[in-house]
Amino acid sequence: MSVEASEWRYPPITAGLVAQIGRERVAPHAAECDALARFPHEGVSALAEAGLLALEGAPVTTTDLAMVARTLGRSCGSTAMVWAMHYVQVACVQRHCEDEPRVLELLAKLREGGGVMASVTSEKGIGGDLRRSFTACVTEGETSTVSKDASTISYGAHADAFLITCRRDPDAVASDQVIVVADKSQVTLTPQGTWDPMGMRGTCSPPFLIEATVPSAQVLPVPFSDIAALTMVPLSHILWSGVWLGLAEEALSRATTFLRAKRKTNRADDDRRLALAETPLRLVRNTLASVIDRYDNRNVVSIDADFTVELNDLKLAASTLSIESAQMCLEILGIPGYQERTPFSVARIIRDLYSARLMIANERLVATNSTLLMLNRSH
Amino acid sequence: MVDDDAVCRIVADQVGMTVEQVSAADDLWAVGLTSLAAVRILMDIEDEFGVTFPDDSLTRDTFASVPALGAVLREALGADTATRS
Repeated sequence: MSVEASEWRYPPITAGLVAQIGRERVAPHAAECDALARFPHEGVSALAEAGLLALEGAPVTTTDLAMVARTLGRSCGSTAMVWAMHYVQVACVQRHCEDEPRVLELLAKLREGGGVMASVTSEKGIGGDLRRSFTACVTEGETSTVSKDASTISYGAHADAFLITCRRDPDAVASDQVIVVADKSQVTLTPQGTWDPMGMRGTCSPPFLIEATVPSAQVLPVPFSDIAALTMVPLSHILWSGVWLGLAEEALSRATTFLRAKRKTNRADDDRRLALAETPLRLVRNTLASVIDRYDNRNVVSIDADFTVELNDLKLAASTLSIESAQMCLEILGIPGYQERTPFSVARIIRDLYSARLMIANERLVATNSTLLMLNRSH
Repeated sequence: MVDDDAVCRIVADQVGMTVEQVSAADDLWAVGLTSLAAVRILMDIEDEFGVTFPDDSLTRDTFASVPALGAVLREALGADTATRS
């Protein structure tokens, strides 16, 4: 049944509901998706059924969105990351294209089908720089084409729509980018490699050559620079950090449960390492809350280097402190934590968390912050 | 009097465009200027001319075009000269 935008009923989103879906529909498949490096169909279908794939435009706050990412992270890092990436893609399109009927139609189709939108921002040879593209959009008449050699497309083979960054036209410089939105019927995907990584295995993110031919109305009129600065970069850092926090909180929860069980048989002193595992997560939670507050009340008139530095700091902190905490939990848990298939295992969690420092390489963010901090004359 | 050619060259170097493309741009942000490049342009201009742009001039509008950057530069140079004399 087709649902008109005006008739769409957004689901009530509570932490309890998300946790229940995570526990009952997502977590049971996490180990298998991880072992086989397969897409978490069951979990993503459950998110679609609950309306969690269609939250953009709903009366939810950025704090609510981070809560969803964090809560799902407790159950399965891959499913949580697929949700977070999909949400960011949809927000980039919907928030910046309110008056583009063709694009809104595509979003409505995606929502009705319960599908996910993948992003195609990486490109071979570009060195992981989101704000540069080699490939250009070529427009002839009412049709635009783009062909991109993407180093990775997360859940590319399972997506129903794509957000592709490219140069505005063949004469544009590398940083003059636009977004092309495409339905899966408008693209050809040719795998260029395999996906057998250390962690986040269910995101299924191999390299692809993607070729898209779309009506020109699917080339977003808003420059990608604006969409990246206002939506893609801040929301990605916020929601990814939520996922990593959730993963690490699950490790902490397992370590706590383990220590409580141990205490029943061995009334030794409480393990001081539990506090050492908790402190880094408190820092991440507080930084996340502070960034969300500033994002929701931002001033976009200035070039806003300070906010960029703070956002990058969030990503740097969340991607390193979350694993610092999880590693401490592993020390508390010992072999039961190191094993893959025990109730106290933190193996998948730690492997998943190692991806955090690579998703937009921390080294790049450190270099960016170092340049931006040169603006600060008050030191 | 500083003309805009030197500013134009600095912007072109940092954005990877030709001097002609930079001169023709009404809005550099719309043709590929990034905030990172803007910071580098600022530092290049300050170093080359020995001035400091006031903090309240570090807006998107200032970096949107060569004439806008040139105007802030001339103002900064004027302020500097006035201080010295």
